[in-house]
Amino acid sequence: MSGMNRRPLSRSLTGALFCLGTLLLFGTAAASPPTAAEVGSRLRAVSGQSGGLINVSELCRDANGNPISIAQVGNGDAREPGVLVVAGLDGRHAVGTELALRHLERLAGDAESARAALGSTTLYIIPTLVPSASDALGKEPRRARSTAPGTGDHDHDHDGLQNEDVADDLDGDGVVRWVRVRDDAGPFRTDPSRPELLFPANREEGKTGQWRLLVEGRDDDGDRVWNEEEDGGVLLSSNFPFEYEWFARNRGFHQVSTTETRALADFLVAHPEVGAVLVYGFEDNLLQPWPEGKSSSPNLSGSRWGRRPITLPNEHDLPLVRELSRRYQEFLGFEKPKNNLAYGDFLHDILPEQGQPIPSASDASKGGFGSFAYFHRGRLALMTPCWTPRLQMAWNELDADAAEDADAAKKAAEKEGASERETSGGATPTDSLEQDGAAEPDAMAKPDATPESNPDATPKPDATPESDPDATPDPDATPEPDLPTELETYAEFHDWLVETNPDAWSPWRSISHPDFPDRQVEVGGYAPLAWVYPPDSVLDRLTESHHDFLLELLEVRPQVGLRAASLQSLGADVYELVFEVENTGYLPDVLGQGVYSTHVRPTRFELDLPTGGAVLGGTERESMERLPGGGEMLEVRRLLRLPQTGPVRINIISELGGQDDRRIAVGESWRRP
Amino acid sequence: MSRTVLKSDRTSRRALFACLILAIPSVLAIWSPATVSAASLMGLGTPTDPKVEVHWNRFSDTDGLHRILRELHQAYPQLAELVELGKSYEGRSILALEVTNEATGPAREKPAMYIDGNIHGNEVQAGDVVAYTAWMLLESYGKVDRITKLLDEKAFYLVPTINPDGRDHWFENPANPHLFRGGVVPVDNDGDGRFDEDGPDDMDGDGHITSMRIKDEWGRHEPDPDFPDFLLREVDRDEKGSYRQLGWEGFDNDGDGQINEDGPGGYDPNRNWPWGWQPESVQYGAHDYPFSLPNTRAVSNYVAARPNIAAVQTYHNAGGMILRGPGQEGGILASEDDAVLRFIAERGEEMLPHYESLVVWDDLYTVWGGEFDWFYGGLGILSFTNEMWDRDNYFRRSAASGADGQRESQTFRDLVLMGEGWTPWTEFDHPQYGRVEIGGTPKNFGRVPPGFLLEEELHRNTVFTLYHAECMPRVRIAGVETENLGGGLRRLWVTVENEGVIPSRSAHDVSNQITPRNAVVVEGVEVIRAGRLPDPQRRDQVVWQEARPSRLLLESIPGLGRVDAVFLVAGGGNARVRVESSKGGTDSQAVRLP
Repeated sequence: MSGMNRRPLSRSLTGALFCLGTLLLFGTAAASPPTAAEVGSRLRAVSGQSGGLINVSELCRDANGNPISIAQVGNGDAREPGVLVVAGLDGRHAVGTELALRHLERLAGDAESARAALGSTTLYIIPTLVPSASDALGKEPRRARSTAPGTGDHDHDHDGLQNEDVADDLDGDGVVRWVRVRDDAGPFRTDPSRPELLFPANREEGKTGQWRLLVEGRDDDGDRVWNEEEDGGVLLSSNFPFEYEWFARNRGFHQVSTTETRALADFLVAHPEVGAVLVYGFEDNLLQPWPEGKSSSPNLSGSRWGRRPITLPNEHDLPLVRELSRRYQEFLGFEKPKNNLAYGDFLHDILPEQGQPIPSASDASKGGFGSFAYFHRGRLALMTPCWTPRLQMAWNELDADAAEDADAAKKAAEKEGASERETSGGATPTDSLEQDGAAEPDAMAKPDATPESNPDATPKPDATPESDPDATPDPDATPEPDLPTELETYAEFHDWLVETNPDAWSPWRSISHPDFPDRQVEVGGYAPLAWVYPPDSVLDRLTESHHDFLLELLEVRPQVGLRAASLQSLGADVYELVFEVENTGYLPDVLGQGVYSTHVRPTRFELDLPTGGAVLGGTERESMERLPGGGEMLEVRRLLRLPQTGPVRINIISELGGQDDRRIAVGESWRRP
Repeated sequence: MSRTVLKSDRTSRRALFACLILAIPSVLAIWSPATVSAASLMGLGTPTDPKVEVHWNRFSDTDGLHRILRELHQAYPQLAELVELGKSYEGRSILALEVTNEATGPAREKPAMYIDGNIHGNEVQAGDVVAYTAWMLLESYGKVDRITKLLDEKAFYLVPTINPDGRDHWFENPANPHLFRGGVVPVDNDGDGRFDEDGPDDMDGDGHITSMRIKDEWGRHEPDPDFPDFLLREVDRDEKGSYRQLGWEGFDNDGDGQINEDGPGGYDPNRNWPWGWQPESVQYGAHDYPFSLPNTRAVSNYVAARPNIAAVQTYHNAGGMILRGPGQEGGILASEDDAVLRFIAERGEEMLPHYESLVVWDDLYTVWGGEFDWFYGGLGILSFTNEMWDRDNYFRRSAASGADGQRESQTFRDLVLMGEGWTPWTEFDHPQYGRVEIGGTPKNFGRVPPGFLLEEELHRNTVFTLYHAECMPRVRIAGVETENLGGGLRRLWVTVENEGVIPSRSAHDVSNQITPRNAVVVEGVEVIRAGRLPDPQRRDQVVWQEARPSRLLLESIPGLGRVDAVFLVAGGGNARVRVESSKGGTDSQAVRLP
């Protein structure tokens, strides 16, 4: 693991060049989530500009006939490793789609560097599997949509009627927003200081409700349930087999029930060389690392009878994934890993997107693609929501500290008359912060500033549910101060959001609602996806860090090959063949879960012997033990009978770590330089 | 009934027949000449004078089964429809015969029973039984009242084989009783990058994959003292043996030191269904994901398009079992549903001597992702699997197990099969083992009944499923009563009933809201409020539905039970009352509100 914790300067320069190339080729970034047409045109552009590096093809079509595209970056050699990036499994996660497109644009912008970064690896990128969601967002009335169309017939209230009650644009502003209805029995309240913001009412704390919150619309079918058939297709991000939730809303007829999820599962099956999957969505083991100490250690011997489903990461894999999470957070600018960057439960409650809360990481893993890829198919799966309110708040805090420190340093320098000398804080700034110009070196050396806390807010035992109480803290790590309470985070984030993107919010306005003639009803609130799709300035910062992490992912792959071989005579026609197989990559040739899943082939050797040759007391083809990364080696010895003294060819075949072969002549002793 | 009684019975019928011809010629039409033929008399239970002749003492390959379906379809076009569910991996058709009396309504508007078989390719009688069901239903329509009623009111979706590849490979290729259980989608079972490269081999070319054994003075077996030319027995700890058993016939085809480790296919299609599905690490044969196989997927699409399926039967072999779920410990089976299933299965035990009513995980073994578990767990439909044929039928007594069971089988071969059902041991020079002996059980002994017992298996299992079909829900409007309350206000009392033993929605369905709720709909008049009566005798107690009064939603109509509804109606006129149940059908009635 040593030597992997770095950010090469060459990568920073490459990143800057990518940025420039991207700007020249593709203009400035989109101001809003890309529409399906824009996804198509940007994919065509990267394909055309990449000099043959990127090929875009159709993975499948959705139920409405819209094409779902996959971009192949690299030569597609199935004998060499592959990495798959999947975004847009949930239509609301348009930030993932945008980042996936930006990855491609950066790679196309400097194909030569991209080829060098890829080596023999092929990268596959799927920007979206729900193009119809982009269209729903772009066509009036604009609305957020999480699901793929499915059969088109939705009967979520089980009344035997289909699609009879969807959302309506009541005020005719072209956007489906929110309606709040004055109701003392409602689940939301406001604070006198912030009457526009809705907080969950906590009756246990004596705070009663004041408002109901509904998606903008009428009760079209008169059943006193509002808009129950809105967004009624299949949530692709919850349609995979791992801990699939039967009968939950939008989960589909069964696991892998849609054309899109089937095509994606089939792709993974048909490309066994894909050893790592990076998923942009609401599954998460990067912003919110898998907790330390919670792992499985399944017994691989004996029969499968009596086995139970496994839901914890394998003991061999957990440290690797946690280390990759640490590096991811480092690329985001956090020198020390944080446990509180993910969506918190409180935010799930107050951030309903089209009536559905943003799922927590554990909820999103149920039926998730990344979880399927790891737990069922044995592939490394790294998953991140990419951007969350808490990440943004942490960034704001980081930036404020950096600005403050820079200011202080400047004043000190002026005072000491040494304005040209840099302050030495002992820490190395991250590249992204350098590129953003948002941080000064000593900003990273200092503990985070203590956030303002609300003295009235009573901390609840579950106030930070994302922090794992069982996780053993790193003894060398300085404990991170908690972010402000959830409520303050919400208000703070709201203010930042509205200031950064005024279109994100529409003030509440009274309307007359036919279903509530005697009540105060107001329409307004957040625009679709305002909470989950960041402003442009943030997208640039996200692109930097995520692209760097993607390049890191290419670097850590297993790299299996021959280290040494010799073929020495033992007398008569008998020879001893000795060879060493090593894995110089960071990752093992097969993850612990890969072995357990039975879906990752072990590394094997195959010998080609000269005519008449034979292995004495053994066979010419054999599977090998698991090869951990970091230069781990296995030695193989075989007795051969070779009536003809031609060379012996040794083939090393690793499904995820590449292939190697070498001819060894009789009497030869070879070692990789 | 003795033969003598039958003869005398036939004589008296002849006399009666002669009288009727003379006295009332018009009655002639109701008599089928076949029933009084001087040359033969059809045994009871078997359709008389069938239009389609089938020999039910032999097994048919996929083409043979489909030929039966096609001929039945041609013979009874008004009662049968032929539908292709999809294609197998090798492109064979998966065919269903949809059987109902179209004159009384299309199949999709009636409660329907789905029956399939032979998901395991080697379990061949499980396919023939479904063809027999189709034959019996169609050849008996208009002759047997209960069958006529079934086809008038209900429908059958009959799919003899959902694994035609496995079936045909078992028929056409060297095999044993267990080979070709799965399909032939290639799988790399030994993880060496090659697919299906080292399966069993018919080394002696006799058309069967039997067993290999080798003489070995340190072996743990020796010839059985009673059947030395056939069987080996395991020696005691203090004995030395003379033979070692080597498994099925086969070579090391791929030079990896292993024999028969990667044969055709290498998965189990009955572990590829979504309910309770678990991956290969937990469940052998699960394949890549639920419905990743073309044949299971085809069934899924077919079933999804037929929400009127209200009962399911799947067929396997062997063991004489009427199986119900769940497949795993802790799996779901609502107690109310279990009670209905147990009741039907107990009836089945009477119809199927030597069969036992069992729960899969508790009485058999754990199954993750089994077919009939999905029908219940995923769709809320009460379903059974029958394991057809049992060794108890050799001598109509409880069969012995272990070595004694093998001796009993050998005795049956000797006494009843005149020595058939065994491949004699012959010597063979094996490239890896040296001189071995090959012999043992051919593919058509053990898991399948002998020909003369096959028809009985087919019939008894069929009547069990027909009983299950008779239990399917069937909703009716049992009564409508109007009441003028004055001032333009009327009250409409509606009683709906379920004529079947099975509720219109299973308890599991209701708990998880799998299918649409049942509804009582009033159209043509303005309905102000609708409600239901928890106790039909207490009209003073009504649970009112909060909104949308023209469509009263009901969770379920109990088996052989009723639900009473009341509608407050403004004004009079002609109205129509309708009851809707996706599994129990629909019924409607015109009402005049004075």
